[in-house]
Amino acid sequence: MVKVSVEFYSSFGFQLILKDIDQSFTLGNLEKQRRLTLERLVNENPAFVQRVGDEFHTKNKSILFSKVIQTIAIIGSPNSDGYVDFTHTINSSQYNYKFAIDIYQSSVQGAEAEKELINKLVAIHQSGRKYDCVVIIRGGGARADFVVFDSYNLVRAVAKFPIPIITGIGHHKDVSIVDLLVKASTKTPTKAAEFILAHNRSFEESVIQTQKFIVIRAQQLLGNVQQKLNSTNVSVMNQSSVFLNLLKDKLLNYNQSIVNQSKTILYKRQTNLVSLLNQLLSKPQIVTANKKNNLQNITNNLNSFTAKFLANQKGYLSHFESLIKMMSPQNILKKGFAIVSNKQKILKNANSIEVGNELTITMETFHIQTKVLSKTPNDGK
Amino acid sequence: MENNLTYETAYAVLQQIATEIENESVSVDVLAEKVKRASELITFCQTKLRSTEQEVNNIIKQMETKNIPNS
Repeated sequence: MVKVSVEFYSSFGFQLILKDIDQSFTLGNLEKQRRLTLERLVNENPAFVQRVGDEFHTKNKSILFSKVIQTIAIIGSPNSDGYVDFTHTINSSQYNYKFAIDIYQSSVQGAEAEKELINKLVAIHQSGRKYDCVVIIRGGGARADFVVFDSYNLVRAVAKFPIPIITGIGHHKDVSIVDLLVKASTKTPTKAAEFILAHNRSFEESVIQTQKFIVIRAQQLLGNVQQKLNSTNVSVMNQSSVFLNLLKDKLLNYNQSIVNQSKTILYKRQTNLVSLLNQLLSKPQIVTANKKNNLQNITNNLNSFTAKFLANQKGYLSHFESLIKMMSPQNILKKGFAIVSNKQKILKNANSIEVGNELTITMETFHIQTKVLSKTPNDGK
Repeated sequence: MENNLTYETAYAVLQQIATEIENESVSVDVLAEKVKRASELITFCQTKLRSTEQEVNNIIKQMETKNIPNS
């Protein structure tokens, strides 16, 4: 059903102008077809398509993008506006990322489109190139042209394709089944390019973030270490100054004690020396004095002994002298004794005397000449 | 005077002479000689003593001036 206006132009006549189409009529069929296709897909390929609520989980969705998308396979027409938009957007970004892009030319609408698209996917898979993603783009077009992206064979191939697929097939109102099953669906080729840029950018940001984190962390670590070092330094300085002071005190004490001790020792030694010296000073004098004394004594002794000796000798002599004096004939004559001699010979006894002999009698003061008259023995009476 | 005579020897001889005279064991004939010898020994000993004393005093004086000026 369509809404038309009929206008009259004098030059052309009537003109029928198509104002609007009641989409519920045509879309109703399309929608029905889509539902059938999806049901079939889920039912026949449980290995790589599962329905979870309103969403579909596919093998293609489960594949993770590379950290950085650099090698890209594009399926689409190189002459289309979509391709130009995509390459322009992706190559003129402010980030200046570099990409290796291979174009797999394919119609995206029309009778051969489904077969061609599938062939290209196969070609990509068999190319041996390690693509980071496949981008399917289309410049835009009518809603009905879009049906190829709902076709069962294509969506099945997409769902199990082993490289992440990004779509940018240029429609705003609705989503195709392909869009439901691929890794990422965007509305337009430009958006697809932006998606890739954003993906790479987020990686770069994470790298930058990591770099910043590393820098900050390193600075923190450095700061901590610096702080520790400082505090250690301070504590070392304090400790060492305390230790030094302790040592200084000890040294001072030692010094003091050494000075005192040595003073004491010196004093003792000096005292000893002085006393020794005094001994030395006095002892020889004492010794000489003693010797002098002894010498004096012995001299005195000698003198007195000699004197005594001489006196004794004198005594003996005078004793003999007096004895001799007493015994002398003169002394005996004095006492009245007389010496009788005959012819100059002193007679000690009267044995030889005979009567008539002439004898000389010597007395103290005179010699007497006499003649013997008689001779009688003296009996001691 | 004998050069080799020591004080101790001289002193011993002196003592001997003194003892001899004290005991009158010496003959008068040699008494004078002995006393003369004793007198010589006494002179020797006195000289020796005096010189020794002088020497000791000198040494002590030196020690006093040199070694302990503070005492």
